[in-house]
Amino acid sequence: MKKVNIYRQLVIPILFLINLFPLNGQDQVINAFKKSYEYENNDNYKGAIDQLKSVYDAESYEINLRLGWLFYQSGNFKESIDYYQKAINLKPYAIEPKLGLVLPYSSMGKWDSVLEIYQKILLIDPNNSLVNYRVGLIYYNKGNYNKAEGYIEKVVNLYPFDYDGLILLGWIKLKLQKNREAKVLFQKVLMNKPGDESALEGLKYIK
Amino acid sequence: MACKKLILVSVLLLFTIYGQSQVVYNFTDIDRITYELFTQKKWDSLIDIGKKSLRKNISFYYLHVRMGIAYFNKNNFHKAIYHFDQALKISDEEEYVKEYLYWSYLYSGRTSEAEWFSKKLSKTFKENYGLYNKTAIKNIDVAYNFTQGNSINKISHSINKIQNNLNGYLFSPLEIQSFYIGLLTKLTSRLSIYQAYTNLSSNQFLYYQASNQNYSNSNFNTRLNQYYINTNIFVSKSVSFTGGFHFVHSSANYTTQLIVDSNDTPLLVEVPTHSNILDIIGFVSFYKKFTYFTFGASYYNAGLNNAKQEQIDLQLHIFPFGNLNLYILNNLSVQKQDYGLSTVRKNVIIDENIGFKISTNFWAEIYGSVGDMSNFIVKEGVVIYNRSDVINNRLGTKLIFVANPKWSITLDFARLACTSNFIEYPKWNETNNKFTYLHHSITGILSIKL
Repeated sequence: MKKVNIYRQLVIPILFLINLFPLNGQDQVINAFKKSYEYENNDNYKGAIDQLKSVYDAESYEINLRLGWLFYQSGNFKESIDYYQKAINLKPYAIEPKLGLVLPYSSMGKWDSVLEIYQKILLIDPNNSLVNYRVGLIYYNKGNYNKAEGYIEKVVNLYPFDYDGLILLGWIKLKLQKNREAKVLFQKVLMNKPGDESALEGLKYIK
Repeated sequence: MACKKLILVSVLLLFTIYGQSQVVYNFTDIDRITYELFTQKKWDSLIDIGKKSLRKNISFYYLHVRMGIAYFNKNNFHKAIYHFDQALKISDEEEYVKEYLYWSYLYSGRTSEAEWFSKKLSKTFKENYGLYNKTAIKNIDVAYNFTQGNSINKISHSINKIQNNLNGYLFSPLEIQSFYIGLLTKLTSRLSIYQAYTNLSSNQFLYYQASNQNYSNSNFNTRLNQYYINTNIFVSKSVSFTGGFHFVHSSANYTTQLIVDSNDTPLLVEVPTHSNILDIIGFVSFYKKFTYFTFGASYYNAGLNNAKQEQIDLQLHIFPFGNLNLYILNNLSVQKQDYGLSTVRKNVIIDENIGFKISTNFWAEIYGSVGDMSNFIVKEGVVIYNRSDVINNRLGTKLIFVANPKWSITLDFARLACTSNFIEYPKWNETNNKFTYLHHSITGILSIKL
């Protein structure tokens, strides 16, 4: 009599059942993300957050990152900071969660904390033009034109005909009374955007 | 068909209006909308949406900053203070928010708070606006008052109505002049002392009647030298305590007195006398500031004119627009006077003062008090109505000229409705022999900020 392996007999039905009723946790997470986007599009941040919390995994960078964003959108900055920080801890060399963490801090007016985060990004990516620009802008708004100059010069060196870098550097040079350099920069801005009011105003201050 | 078209148009119109007025209250949209309104300087709309957002528990740093600036630009400094305060509780890193709060305190008249808060401002700001002033003396006030009383003829006419068989006396002021100088000294950011000296000269009509004799003196002069000291402690940004003393030294020369001999007979005698009397008033006050109003309470304890006084004041200062364009000061006083010999009197005095801005440099105040003011204390003990008569009510007006933030001039005209009483022996009570009259007073005050 031919021996039949009972276990081999069970494999096919079991495989069939798995395909019919998937138990894959990752699919659940994807589904939760999908629903969270739908809730977010309808401005229902609580619903979006609840979806992700139902599949929450403290070791999931993506879930922590997205919760950081959703809490920020809902105006709950404390929670937003917590989740972004968790994402940072999971991927310490990633720039993405650090840029996320900047959002709640800047909404709270905590610019010293924002600067700290940007400096950490620049340690990883010293030529990140977005971050260099933002740091320069923060220092400019604080009245620290000497510090602002270094960051914005880097931006203009990387993007010599970019409007934002040129106009801000022009004003920084003017504040530092480097009028000749300021004039050149304002004129470049006018090449980029003829009739630009800010550049024209800057040129008025230069005798 | 026309009806269907009308319905369709109406429905579309409704959706348009409804859709436009629909603001989604979440952080992102409110942040975007209020920022747009802020850059467009649409302060009323910003305030409206901000208030609705706060009611829906949407509250964040820049919402308070923008609402604070909106209220500031609408000259509602009380509300501006509230929002800047809320913003600074979240983050105190942005200098301009602190500067706005400083100016809000100053423009709302909360100078103690402005001075206390200025230590948190940047060195540059303090240098630019002269806030590094090390001088301890912050304010000098100089004032002169002249009060014109009755004519001697009028008093004589009234005295003639007093029955000859009565024994007693009557004082009635004819003319009062006073000179006042006050100094505000800042000891620390929270502690200041106000000191003042007053020299007062009162010319009175003095009348005695006893045992069918009478004596009158239309030139009875009393000189008062007064020293006032008030300590103000700024406890927190909305709470302050004050307390102090007012010393009143009066001196007078007279020759004739009314005495009672061993047979209990009142007599007029010639005894040259120089009297020196020191009266003391002590007081404490408490103030709590809210948005749009301030609540205050004061307690006075005094020994004026041979009687003992206890007085409690309750004050409510209202600023309907959150600024000094209009303010209403309400004061309720309850006074108990113990004259000795079981004679105790209680008085209730109500005082109202309405102030409003006339133009850029001019303010006006209209004030009135009703209730018998006898040995009555006002304004934290600075002013004392310890005249020999009773003020029944007063009505006045002030014109305040603020030339610049450093100095101002005030002219104060008051009409006082008064009563002089013939105080009768043996009870030394007031009697039905009283006569009423009007006094007019003018005061000029120069205030200088150093």
